Amino acid sequence: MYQYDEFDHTLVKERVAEFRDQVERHLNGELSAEQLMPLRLRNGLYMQVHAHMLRVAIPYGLLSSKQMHMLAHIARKYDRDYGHFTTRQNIQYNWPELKDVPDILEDLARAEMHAIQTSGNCIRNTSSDQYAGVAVDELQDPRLYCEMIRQWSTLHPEFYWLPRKFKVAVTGAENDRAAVLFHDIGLRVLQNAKGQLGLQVLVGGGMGRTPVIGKVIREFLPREHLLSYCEAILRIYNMYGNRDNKYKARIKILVNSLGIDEFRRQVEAEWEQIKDSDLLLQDADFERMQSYFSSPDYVKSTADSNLINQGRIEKWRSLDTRFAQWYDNNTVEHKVDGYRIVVVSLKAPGVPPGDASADQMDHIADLAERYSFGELRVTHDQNIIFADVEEAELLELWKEMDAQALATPNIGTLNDMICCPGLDFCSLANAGSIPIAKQINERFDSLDELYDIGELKVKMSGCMNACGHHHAGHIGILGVDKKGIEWYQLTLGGSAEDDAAIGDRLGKAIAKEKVSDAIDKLVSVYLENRQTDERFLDTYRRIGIKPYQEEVYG
Amino acid sequence: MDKLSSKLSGGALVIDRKIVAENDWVHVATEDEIPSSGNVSIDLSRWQANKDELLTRESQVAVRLDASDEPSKLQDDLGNIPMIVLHITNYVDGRCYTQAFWLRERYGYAGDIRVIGEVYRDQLNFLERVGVTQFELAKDQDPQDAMNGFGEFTVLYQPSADEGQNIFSRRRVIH
Repeated sequence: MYQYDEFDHTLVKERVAEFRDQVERHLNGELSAEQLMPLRLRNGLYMQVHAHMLRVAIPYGLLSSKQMHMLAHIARKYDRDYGHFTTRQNIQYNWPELKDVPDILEDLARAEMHAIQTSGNCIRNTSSDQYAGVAVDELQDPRLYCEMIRQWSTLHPEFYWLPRKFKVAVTGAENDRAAVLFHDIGLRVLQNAKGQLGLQVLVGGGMGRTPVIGKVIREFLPREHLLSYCEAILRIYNMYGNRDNKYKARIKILVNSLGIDEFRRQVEAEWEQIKDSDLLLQDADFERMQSYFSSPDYVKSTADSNLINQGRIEKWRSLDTRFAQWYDNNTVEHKVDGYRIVVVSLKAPGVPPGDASADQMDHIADLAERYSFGELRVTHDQNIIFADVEEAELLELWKEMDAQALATPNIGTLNDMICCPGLDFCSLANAGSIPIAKQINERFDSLDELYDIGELKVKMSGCMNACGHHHAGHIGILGVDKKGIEWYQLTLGGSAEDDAAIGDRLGKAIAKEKVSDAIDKLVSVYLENRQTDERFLDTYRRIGIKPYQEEVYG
Repeated sequence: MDKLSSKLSGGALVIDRKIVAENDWVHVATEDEIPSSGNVSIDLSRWQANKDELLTRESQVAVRLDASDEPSKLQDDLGNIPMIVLHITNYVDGRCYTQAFWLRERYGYAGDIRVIGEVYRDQLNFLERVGVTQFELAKDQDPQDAMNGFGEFTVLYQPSADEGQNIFSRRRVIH
């Protein structure tokens, strides 16, 4: 993974010093709370319902064991022994004290981490494919592009006060796991017919109040222009994005109001001016960056070793149903024979989705050290991944994970819900998310039933800001406030993948205590109507919304 | 300074990272009369309407842009303008950064760029990077303290209108 050089270390240290000074000036009364606000936001620090919340960047979701230990240390020393992994591959702490935050950032800097631009109206952490580098369907590794964007966008003097927040995602695989169609800029790394590497550039996607699917602004951008093209898009947005109404300030609104053709014309005109500037990258830059993401030293497989592994796994599966369930649900095919991708479920029943205790973080870090070359990834679905586990070690790893409640075999099922912190923590929320997750978990507590239902992505947000990506859920749940009472609006048929779609509204909002009943009814319509291997989403797309409405409201 | 123009005047003036005692510029508000003598900054519409007449003044005339003004409208006049003033009415509005960048890098403007209005310590570093040369601080900004706002970062990851370089081209030389 990427290692800081002297430039990166210096920049992060100087940033900590700057923020330490800003906090001191605030505590001395020289900087008002109002003046501190945008400055602390750009260091990831929010003011929430009960306390401050600190969001720490995990660039494109990639972590070393050492970094995960640091995250555990911070949870233990400065917070209440846990952290919350988010849908954009970051981590949030819910209880830090303002006076401690400079020390937290200093600790993070020691582990080559920071919280720069994790909130505020600026360029946020670039997210990516959780299986980058190990996916069987990968065409190109997206991580080097992410890291280049991270550096270019960090403390960019011109784009620090944008009309609104700005999120970039990069994928390099056939199947999009980075939701590039739902980002302000989405990038697909690809190779053209001449063998040249480049990017398809999408712009103006997003969730929030007005969900929009991104549009292609350029079919093929030679990769040496990565930074200049992003800069041209940002410059047009910074100058012409709406600043009067925060709900109309995202780039998607500008793209829609100008139309993609006019927006493209303006961006390309700007790009013409800067494409051959110092921003122009060279092959050597990509090669140097790629070397940070080279494959680990895999054990070479042979026809014999593959057979032995297959036999071993079959035996383990037949001897222990629980191992079999875990293997089938929580592990994924790896591009290298003899290896498997393992998903650590942060969706144990009774625990808020995405939460991990400090002890669990330490255990996860230790396991990664011993079983997966000391690296981890955070997923959009708020789980953790060991990307490179030898098949021969799966049983041992599973036993250790199981002992720490990290092996709940529910990945991809209805209980592997995405969920924002909701009213329990967030000052923007209109309704709770965590209690609804709990309610649904309790209703669907039988693994056999979950497996029978199969892949069903449930995504829940506690308000219109859509941090839980409800628009893109096969079932989306949106918390709304009606005269002080929490209600829940359901949507059906959303997807964040290549078949991206915004969910359709089912009907009037559902009372809090009836949400799991309603989900139950939606599932029953699916089970009655599904044909052979159809997923929930496929059945919905085939039969339409009516039968679901009749069942829930009839 | 006369009463009419004082509403646009700020606190201390900073040039080349130093507090300057003299500030002989008057920023004439849109609705106000232009004083008969002295250096003045004039809003873009008045400049466009009265350019020829304004250029006959003995003292200097600067053009003042609001955040929504297009720097391109000054493209043909840049040789005649000793200073462009960017008026920051709300410091969270980042358009002035692109205005300054465009003036420097797209139009090659070599004169002074001054910011007035909500100009506080924590913006100075980035304003300087995009090509601003003069800073008329907000009245409630302590000028001594503001000096700490410059040069807080010795590492720059990207080019702008300063000596900043693309970090990747910098590394090419080193590695």
